[in-house]
Amino acid sequence: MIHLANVSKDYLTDTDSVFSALKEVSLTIKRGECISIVGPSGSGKSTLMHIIGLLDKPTKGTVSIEGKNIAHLSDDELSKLRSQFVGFVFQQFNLINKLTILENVMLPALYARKALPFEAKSRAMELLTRFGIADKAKSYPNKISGGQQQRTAIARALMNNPKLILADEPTGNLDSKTGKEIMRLLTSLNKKESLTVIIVTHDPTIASRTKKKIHIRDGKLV
Amino acid sequence: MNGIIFALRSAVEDFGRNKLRTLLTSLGILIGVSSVVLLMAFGLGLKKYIENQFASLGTNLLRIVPGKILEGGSFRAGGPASLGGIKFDIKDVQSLEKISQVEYVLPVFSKSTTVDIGKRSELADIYASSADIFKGLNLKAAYGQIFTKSDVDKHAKIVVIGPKIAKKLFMYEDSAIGKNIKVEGQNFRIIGVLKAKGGGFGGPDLDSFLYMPYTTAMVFNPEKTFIALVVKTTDNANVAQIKKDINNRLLRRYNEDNFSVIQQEELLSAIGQIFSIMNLVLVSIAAISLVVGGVGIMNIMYVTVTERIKEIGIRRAIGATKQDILTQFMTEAVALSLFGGIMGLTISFLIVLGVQRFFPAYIDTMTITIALVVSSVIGIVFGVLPAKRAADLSPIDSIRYE
Repeated sequence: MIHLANVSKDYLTDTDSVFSALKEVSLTIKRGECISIVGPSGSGKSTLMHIIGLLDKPTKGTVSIEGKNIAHLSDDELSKLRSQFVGFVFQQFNLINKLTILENVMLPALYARKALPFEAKSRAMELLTRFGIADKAKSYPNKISGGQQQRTAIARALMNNPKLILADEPTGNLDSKTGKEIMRLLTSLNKKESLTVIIVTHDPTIASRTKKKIHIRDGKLV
Repeated sequence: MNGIIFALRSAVEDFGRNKLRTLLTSLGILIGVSSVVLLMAFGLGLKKYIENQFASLGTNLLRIVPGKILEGGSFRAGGPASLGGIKFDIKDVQSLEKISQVEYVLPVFSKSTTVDIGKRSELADIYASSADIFKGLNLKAAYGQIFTKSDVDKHAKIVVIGPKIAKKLFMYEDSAIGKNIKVEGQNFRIIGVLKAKGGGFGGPDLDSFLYMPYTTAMVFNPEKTFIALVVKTTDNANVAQIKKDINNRLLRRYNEDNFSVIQQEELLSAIGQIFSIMNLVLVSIAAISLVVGGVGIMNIMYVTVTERIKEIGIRRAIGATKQDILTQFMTEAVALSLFGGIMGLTISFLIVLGVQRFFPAYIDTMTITIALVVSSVIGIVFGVLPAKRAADLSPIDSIRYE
């Protein structure tokens, strides 16, 4: 489903020298896999995630999504693909604070740019109900707990029926009990709905909950 | 479309959270729009006022003046009128009275001079004509009476005075009746004081004149000439034909360039034109404040974009295109500007409502449309750069932004 071939990503630093966040990374992710990308901070795992999540383009190498090389896609086409293909879950939850929980979950539908096979509001409510936060639909993100915010973020990620869920340190801002619940939720999405789930983490215990692990260090897979 | 409605709703909610900032930002537009709208309202009012004044001067009147007035109402600069021009005399009056459908012809002689009643003296205008002048200009006596044809024939040394000059000289209008008034050393008896007519705004101030028979006024007018003639036509007269007849008769004595026959409507359009230009200049000056208001909006939109970089990144990550972000911020800028515009319009309405007791200012639908369109356009023009900045942010940098 996703194929990276010799992908490198270079950044210009403030001192005008080149910093390579990824060096010749090649990997293949198949449909329905549950993978963790593990590495210490600064290892390039976030960069890798941004490239897989179509937020960033590589400096060198090719990224193909379902056989399509993304190098030739315009910004608009990438946005469209993001909206249909990927759902993001972030460490900081990244909910929009001035929108209600329900509106946050519905937001991807607004940007879907195609007729959705469901009514946005009822689908959002369904997701909230499934994650046990339907009663918070009219609350604002800063009024609910971290665990509830992360559930909201997962609901938002699922809104447009994506094929891939990308979670960047999803438990990083949560206590261990809540973290476990969130992990259980993510792995169950993989098991029950055969969604492809990629979890980026520095924590080996989190990584141990996924079937497959990819280790990354200094921009290289190890 | 859905996106715009959503963006609009969240913009309005945002304004609710930042009431003071919203108010201050739209204040510039508010002031700009209200000054433009008020100037337009006063301009329209002034025009209406002048039209009313002219209407009260009487209808079916043609004025014949020296000099040439061109089509559309503007005077030809440097024409014969400015060189002194011609003056009419009693032969012209008699000649024009023969034209069919002409009811009467008023000779007009006027002169600014000093009048006195012993101790007190005032500057005043003599307005000398025939007895029909009162009919022609719709003037009626408030006290005493007006002069008659036989007074004119007798060269009677009498005057009828306007209420303003009566008040200036005698304090009370009615106490003027029967008193003597000295005009350039000659004594005249005041036989009447006219009802107030208003005016003096664009047109002549009929309330300040001293009206006397033109025959009597010949003492101030040794050449026995008139500065203008006023022709009163019958109701439903063929004005175009009469104008032609007047022209033909006057051409026997004068050059084509030496006189003009003006219909009231033409004079009105000339004055209207002058006021429109004045108003346009004033409105343009006021419009500068709209630009200042627009810059205020641009400034705050840049601040908003910076404050919301993270939000922009989140939206981009979940599928928003550049266009979606652009639309969102443009909608906000236009909403902000339109809010100022609507507030400005509301305030103008209230001011105009308050002023209407003294002055016929009014706001027409054209003014409302212009105000709303202009404030939307300002939102678009000054919102586009900040919105473009927001749209061009890289998704990856924005989502990392703290």
